[in-house]
Amino acid sequence: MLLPFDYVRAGTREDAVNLAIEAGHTGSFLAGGTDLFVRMYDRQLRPKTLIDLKAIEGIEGIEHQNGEGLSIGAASPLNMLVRNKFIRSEYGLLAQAAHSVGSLQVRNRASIGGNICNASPAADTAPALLVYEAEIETWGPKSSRLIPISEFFTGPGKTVLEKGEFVYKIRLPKNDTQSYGVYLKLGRTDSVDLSIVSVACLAFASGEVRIALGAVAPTPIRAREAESVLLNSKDDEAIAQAASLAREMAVPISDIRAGEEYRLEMTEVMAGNAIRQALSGLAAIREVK
Amino acid sequence: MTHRIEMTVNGEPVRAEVSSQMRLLDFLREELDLTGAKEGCGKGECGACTVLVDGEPVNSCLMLAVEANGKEVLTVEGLGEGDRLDSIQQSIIDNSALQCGYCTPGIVMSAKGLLLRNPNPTRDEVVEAISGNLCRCTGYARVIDAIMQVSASSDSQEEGSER
Repeated sequence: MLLPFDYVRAGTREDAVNLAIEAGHTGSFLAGGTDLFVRMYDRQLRPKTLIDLKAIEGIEGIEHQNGEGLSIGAASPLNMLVRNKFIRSEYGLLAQAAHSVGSLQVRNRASIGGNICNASPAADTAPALLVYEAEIETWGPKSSRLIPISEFFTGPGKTVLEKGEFVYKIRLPKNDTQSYGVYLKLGRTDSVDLSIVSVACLAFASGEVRIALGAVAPTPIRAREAESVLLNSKDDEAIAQAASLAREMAVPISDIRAGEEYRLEMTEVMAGNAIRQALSGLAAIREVK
Repeated sequence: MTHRIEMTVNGEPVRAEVSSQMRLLDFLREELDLTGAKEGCGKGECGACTVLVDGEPVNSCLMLAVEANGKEVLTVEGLGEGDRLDSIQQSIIDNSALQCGYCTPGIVMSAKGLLLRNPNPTRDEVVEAISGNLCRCTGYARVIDAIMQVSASSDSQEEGSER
């Protein structure tokens, strides 16, 4: 059972902002609800008003235009991303990350916007969005903003979103060269569980390699120092050094899923694996062409 | 706050007035007396409350009744025709793929969602489809066998087709 609240449906972006201002601090935006309802069920959150965003035009759906990159409505359920052919071929790492969330049932409801707005350090789509250098288009009382994903998270459960501001779209820039991405997630089980450590690695034909880590810091993070090692060399020694630098950037906690030391060890192991898999995947698709 | 909602449940149009906080699961069980969907964890982890909304499996404990306004809901009670079971239900029986049965309606609906979308799934696809359904008695091997058997035996996608 859920405690009583008022459900209101926003018809437009302006409507959503006004409803949020009206509801004040007892209001909460609703997209898929798969995290929100769990917290309400557990009485961690007791909102008095839920503002459903799903009826707003453009907040659900995936758009891509040639040479323009990708635009994803924030309330798009994760399975929409997983099944989208364009995302699977051009932004495969994002499809993998979306696919690793929860269960099939959860992915039919859980939205990509909700995944990042909850700002869990373990949010699976966050490392993917970090390596694709996504921008978060928000709508709020003052104006619309475009926030780089690297500046979006400020701590566990915390983002730069202001009162009454919500995420409208997530924009991914066009990939200029061929790329191959890998998302590795370590959980206690293959499904449903949150990640203990996760690593996203995106290798470009230009030689650039991007790495992001999940569940090992207060927010999902880019491991830029590890990336820079791989600019000049991609031999075993460089990969080992990059993996070790990824470990140095991790500042994990111990919790019910794993201890700090285990997380550190796994960060290094998984970063190495992710880099190797991304590089060999890239080499394979370049051979085909 | 209450809301007037209209939806289709197991092919029948339903109109009702529901409170904001009423979950789809509560609506089905308490208002429509459709008790096939079960509440296990109430948090979307066990899948005992799985129903199809517009053909897709969802946890009905994580969806409000008002959010199902205008949608098509299918529960385990809506499967089969008259006394004839859906081929998935029959296969679960034939394969003894249950013990206490609490998780079974959810598993059946997850399997139904899979077979509607993909009539000939691989074993891995079956495993993925029921990955959100916990069974604490019999395990999954027979359940997977049962679903694989349906997909192997049904040449058509017709609902409730004979095995």
